[in-house]
Amino acid sequence: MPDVQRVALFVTCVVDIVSPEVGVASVRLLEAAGCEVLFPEAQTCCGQPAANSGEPEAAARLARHFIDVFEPYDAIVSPSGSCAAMIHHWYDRLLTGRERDRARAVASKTFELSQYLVVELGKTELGARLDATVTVHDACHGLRNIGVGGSARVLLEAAGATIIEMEESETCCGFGGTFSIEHGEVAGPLADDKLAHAAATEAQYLASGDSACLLHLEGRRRRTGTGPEPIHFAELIARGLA
Amino acid sequence: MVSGVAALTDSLRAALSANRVVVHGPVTPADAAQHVVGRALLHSPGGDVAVSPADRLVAELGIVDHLKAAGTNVLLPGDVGWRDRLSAAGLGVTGCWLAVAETGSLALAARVGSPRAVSLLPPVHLCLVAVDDIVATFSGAIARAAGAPLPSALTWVGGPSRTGDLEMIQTFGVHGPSTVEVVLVA
Amino acid sequence: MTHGIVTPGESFAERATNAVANPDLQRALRNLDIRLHTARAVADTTPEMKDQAAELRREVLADLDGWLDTLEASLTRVGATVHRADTPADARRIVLDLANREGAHTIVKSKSMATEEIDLGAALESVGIEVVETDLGEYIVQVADERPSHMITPAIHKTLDQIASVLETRADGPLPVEREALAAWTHDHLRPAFLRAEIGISGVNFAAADTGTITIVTNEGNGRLCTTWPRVHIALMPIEKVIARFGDLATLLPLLTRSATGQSLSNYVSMLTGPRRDDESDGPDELHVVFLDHNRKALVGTAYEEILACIRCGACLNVCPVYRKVSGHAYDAVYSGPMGKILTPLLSLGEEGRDLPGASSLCGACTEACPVEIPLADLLVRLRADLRAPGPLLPLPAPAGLTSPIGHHRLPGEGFAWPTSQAPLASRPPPRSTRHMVFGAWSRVWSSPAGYRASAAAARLGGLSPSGWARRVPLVKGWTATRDLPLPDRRSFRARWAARESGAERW
Ligand code: SF4
Repeated sequence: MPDVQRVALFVTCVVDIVSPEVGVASVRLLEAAGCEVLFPEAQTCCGQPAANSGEPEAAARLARHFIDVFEPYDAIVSPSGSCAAMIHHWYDRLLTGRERDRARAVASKTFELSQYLVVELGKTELGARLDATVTVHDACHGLRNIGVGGSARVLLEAAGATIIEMEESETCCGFGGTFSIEHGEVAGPLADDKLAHAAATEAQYLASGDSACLLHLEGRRRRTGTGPEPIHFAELIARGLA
Repeated sequence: MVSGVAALTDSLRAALSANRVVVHGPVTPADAAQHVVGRALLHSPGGDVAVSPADRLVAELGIVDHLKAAGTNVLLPGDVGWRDRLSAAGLGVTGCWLAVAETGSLALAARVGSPRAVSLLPPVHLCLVAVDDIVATFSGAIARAAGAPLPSALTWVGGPSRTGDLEMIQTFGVHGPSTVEVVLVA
Repeated sequence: MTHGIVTPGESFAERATNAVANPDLQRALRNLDIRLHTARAVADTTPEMKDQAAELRREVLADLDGWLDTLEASLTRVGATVHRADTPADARRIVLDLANREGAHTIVKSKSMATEEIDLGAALESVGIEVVETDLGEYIVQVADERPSHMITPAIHKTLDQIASVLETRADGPLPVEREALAAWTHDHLRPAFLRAEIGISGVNFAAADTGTITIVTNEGNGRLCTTWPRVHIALMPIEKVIARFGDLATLLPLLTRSATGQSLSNYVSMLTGPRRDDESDGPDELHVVFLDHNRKALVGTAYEEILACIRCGACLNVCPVYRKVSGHAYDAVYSGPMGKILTPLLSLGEEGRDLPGASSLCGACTEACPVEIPLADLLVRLRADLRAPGPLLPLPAPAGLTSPIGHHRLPGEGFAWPTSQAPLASRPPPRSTRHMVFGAWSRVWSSPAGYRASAAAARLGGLSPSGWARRVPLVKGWTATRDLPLPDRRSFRARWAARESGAERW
């Protein structure tokens, strides 16, 4: 590996438009780990909303665009386990022939942020200092489709946070893209369960690695007042950076 | 090899006990019949005791004769009214083809003189298990079964009849025997 | 309202709404939480066994017709009679003919999803035959005139109080709300039915092609009784239940029972090879095995064929966050949970359950739990694509020459990397629906950086609010009914990045 890792940040459309602070925090974490961060400005969306809605033609269009934009880079890092999983899991099945080969090549160098720092670079100590109690929600696609595992916990603990595990940390929060709009009758109660489990830990923060899930949880929490503040782990750790 | 049998016996006992099977022994072949007689008088006082006479240990130990000598009404396949009387019998006595230590299962092979229902209709099932017939694993047992002609019914019994249908809490004694006892025979 | 459902409604969403609002149901459903630990234990202890089982199941699917022929030959050799049914109607007719010929008055049934699939009970009752469900859970729902809500635990939607009142309608007096007493009452109450029934009907858990052995697992003993005492045993077997070898039971059977109930082996396993033999005292004189196709063969060779690997363990239901909230009746289908969302539209060629594949958050817990590694979440996504076109759902074969990139895509939630799982997402051409047009237009705009920036800027202008959140947005009221909606931030990440690059901002 070269001394300085050059990393292309795929910030995701949700973070770019709704939660830019998570993008800022991701840059700060990567830079704290010694990376040089590049932001390919032509990036848009990975196409996941279309793929999961059963609109593969639209998803393939965005997949092609993503590959065109990110192909030149050595490493692609995203603060969303779900979007990283989209590239790993679905690009393969959206594209064929030569495009598929390109998709596989791009997927092989695409990482979720915590996974990249902890597993790829082996950098857990980023110089952040936190005095906080945190419970972690393992967002589904990062957990099950790309095996992110406990990387976010490792980073939080290295920054001095105390992790208090909640019941069913691996159970879905109820977001699920269009599901959360078409089936609010189930998505709402699932958010309630997640927030209640988090509340039971009495932790200050409910951290996770997917902004969309966090927005869904915060949206519910604004109605019920239950549960700790949902926050992206990168944003929380960045608060502890000098 | 003796230690092998002892270890298998211990783990079978543990697995059966976990399945709520009452385990007796190991007893010597000489004592086994008296043991069966004792259980028969307890479980079916004055009633029928159904027996599978063709099962190896049942035949070798002369269980039928011992039961008769003790004055119990022995019900044998082929007896007049066997089908009607079986459901009312207080106890069914069988041997087994083999027992699986890993899962705590008793494998019963149906054949002439070893009907399927002796271990099924009476409320108590008493099974004689020769410690030499204990195999370690279920896959080992399946391999043994696959190596010979299969009986019309090969039944694997774990323990007393049970259900999880009442709020997922294991409840015993639905359709099959509510009590299963094993007599280990050395 | 559909028959026998405690949470009625016209759509999944309506039934789910009723389910979530039903306190008794919610209380009963919490009893299922214990199965989360079962699933965890399976996932942690048997990865190699899962791989092995996954391979065995797919080995059969690769030549389903061939294995069925072998099975038929073996069954015939051991004295059983094989009937082939292409449709549920065929299967019903075969069973009715046998019942007629036998002059049957009473039929005892052990739990079988396949008999539910062909609605056999109603068909037999309509000709005046008494049909007695003998699995306790199944009996409870039969008496309550409801449907099973879980393939392993049919009455999971009922509390003990409710169960006692249901059974009481068949008792001479009040029944105590006490488990052992209810089990004992069931024993005494149903025993005469076993003794008088002329026919026993069961499903099949596995049918070994080499030996013609059918295996049936139960815990209560009702399966043994149904296959031991009546003169005729009819086993209804969906064709995918065939396994290649008797020896494969060593892998498949413990995996099934572990995944279903956490037991190392079910309390009773019956391996039946033919009917009673000469001079045996019990066992049926006749064994009939009915092979049920019902559009299954049409799935072989398509991206959906892996659903036929299913061994009906129920694990995917137990871990599904949606199932755990709404229970089986919300699916208004024989098969519920993740596998039911897949099987229902496929078996009915799209006539039923078209809204089921959408009712998933795609969390992948089902895929992770499935002991035979069926990529359930993926199949749900595929169905969403293939169900866009109205009319019959007829999946096209997966393209030839697909390879499975083992090593690249083999993570817990990815499932077994079977070639057809690599097929392109849609097997049918898209229709020109509004939704398709909207996604198409959106993807075109967002494939251009300028279009993306412009639309994001427009959204920002449209969604300015001091808090950054909206309480009511008519366009997405499915969201705002239960949650505040986040609005675009005043400054996008790319605006902040540009400001930093130009030195106007420091992070
Ligand atoms: S799909 Fe898998 S987990 Fe679900 S019932 Fe079938 S085998 Fe079990």
